[in-house]
Amino acid sequence: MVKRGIRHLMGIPGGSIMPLFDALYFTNDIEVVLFKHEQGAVHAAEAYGRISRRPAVAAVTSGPGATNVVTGVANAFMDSAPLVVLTGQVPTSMFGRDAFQETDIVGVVSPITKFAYLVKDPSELVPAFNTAYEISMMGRPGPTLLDLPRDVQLASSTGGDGYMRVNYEKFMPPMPNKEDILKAVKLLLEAERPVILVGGGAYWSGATNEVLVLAEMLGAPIVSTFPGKNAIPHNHPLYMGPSGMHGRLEADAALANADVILAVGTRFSDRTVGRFKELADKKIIHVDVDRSEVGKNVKPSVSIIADAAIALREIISYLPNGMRRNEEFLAWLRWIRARFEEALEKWEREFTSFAPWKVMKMLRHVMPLDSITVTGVGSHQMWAELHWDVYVPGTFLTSAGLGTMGFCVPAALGAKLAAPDRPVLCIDGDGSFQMTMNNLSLVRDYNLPIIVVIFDNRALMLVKQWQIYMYSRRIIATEFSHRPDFLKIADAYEIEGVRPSTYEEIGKAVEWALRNNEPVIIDVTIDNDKDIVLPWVKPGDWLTDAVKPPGMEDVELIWRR
Amino acid sequence: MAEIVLKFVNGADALARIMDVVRRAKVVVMSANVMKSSDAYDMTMSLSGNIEELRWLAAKLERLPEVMEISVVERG
Repeated sequence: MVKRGIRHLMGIPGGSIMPLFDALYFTNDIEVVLFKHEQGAVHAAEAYGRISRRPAVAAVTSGPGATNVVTGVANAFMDSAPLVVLTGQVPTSMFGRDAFQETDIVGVVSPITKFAYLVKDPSELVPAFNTAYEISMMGRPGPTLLDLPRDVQLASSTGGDGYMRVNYEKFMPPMPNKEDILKAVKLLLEAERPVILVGGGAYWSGATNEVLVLAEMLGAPIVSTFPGKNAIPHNHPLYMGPSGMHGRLEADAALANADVILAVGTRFSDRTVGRFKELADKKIIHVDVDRSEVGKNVKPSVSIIADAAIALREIISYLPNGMRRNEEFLAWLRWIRARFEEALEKWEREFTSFAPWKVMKMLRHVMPLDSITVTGVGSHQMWAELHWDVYVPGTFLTSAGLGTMGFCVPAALGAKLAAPDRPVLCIDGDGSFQMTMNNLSLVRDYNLPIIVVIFDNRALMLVKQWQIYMYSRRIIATEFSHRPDFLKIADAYEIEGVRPSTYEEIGKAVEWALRNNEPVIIDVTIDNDKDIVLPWVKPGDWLTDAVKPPGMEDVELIWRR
Repeated sequence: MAEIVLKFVNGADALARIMDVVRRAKVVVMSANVMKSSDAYDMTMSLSGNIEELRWLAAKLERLPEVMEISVVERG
């Protein structure tokens, strides 16, 4: 680990991982960051890896320590994030005997890891680590896990510095096939309404610039998935926002009315496209580094298995300059956007406390452009999907695929560890916050001054929204009491707590924290009778069926010209 | 119907990982045979199901680093 320049190890020690932690006692090169729960350590390591663009390491003990990392590992797997987890294991002589804190963690995480391996022989230890580390980052990133029996940790390693025998070649993206590129170019040249759909893979490929150049050449609107928000600067005039369940209406309209979709590094999640049936009528060009994503949910007309940036550069090289742009289509999408903003202005008057999107806008106004933003999971996250503007690619972290409540606080801590000089904002909900708030002690323990804003509606609001609309208002188990008082929680962790009454007070609290490099917890009261996230494409519906906010009933999302 | 023929390393743990992928595919395993060779394991699975699904399954299995080689033999 030292040789690889690893500077932090996140985790919690216990009986079966004590030899590893004991070895760390003798080095000053790696700082051990002690979390309060293993799930938090793994979310932090994932965020650290996403910011630093290389895997971070989490280490935990066997049994409950290991099973507590499962959610974090699954989260990293679903969002294709690099991560290495080391779990302690009972000694090899005890395997299968139901020893104290014995769990077959390799068996447990097998379907949710890119690579998982139980090291039974000390000579394999260093090669196994090298393999786990490299594989985590090669091609499409993902989590890896090594299970380390206590006797293996205690033995001298004799395996040298090599790698395990596995197939590495498959993770090297192939060069794009010229025939496929030419087919894609032909489709784009013939397209009336081309749209570029950008997924998280575009970020990992570093394809932001290629996407923008191509969009400008084609005059094509850019739509993103939720993770794809992280790849595109939102102030670009062709960016329409994320599409899908809680996407922007102009993005839903763009995707639904496209005749050719160039999809870059996305798996066509049901959350992004609503349902798959209507996509069969469109010509789809699917660029992905992972062959198994092609045709999984949507059958493309052309598939290009390659690194996204390289493939897009190839496409660009065959496109002529001065291509015709469908200005009418773009103008229609921008009109939808204008109507949406107009409707929000009116809708805001119905909120007795804060309108969630206006809180987002205030936060965006005061946070520096390159600051890192992390969200939890719930209605606040959907408001962030709709209204948080990313200006610098790589600065927006969320739990998209798994939807893990509790992601925000530990991921924000991990992001701050990776980038101590940049402000880190955690946009959380009260439900999500309470799942991992125990990790707040690290704010002072390790000097990690994060800014936490709690959208406090005292409910599992997104679930309650489904109960209201899809379960005939049968509200069950989604409303919280007034306990706990988050300002007292802040006080307990020696963090400044604020409960603002105006948008300006929110801005001032953030500015105070930024100016003084201090942490703050801002408890923003949201009226849970009003906190319905719209637009909303209900599960199984098509994008044009989106439930629109009040005042937009007359706006159709079907292109009729 | 198709046969997926593959060569893998890392023994039973890798076999379990392979079967975890197979479990999630919409296919029926008609037979599966695994033999240890000198430096790896050779596996042949006969599967019934939609051919697109079988190809997708093979692509998923191909992602496992333990799988050294893989081929799909389509039958009818």
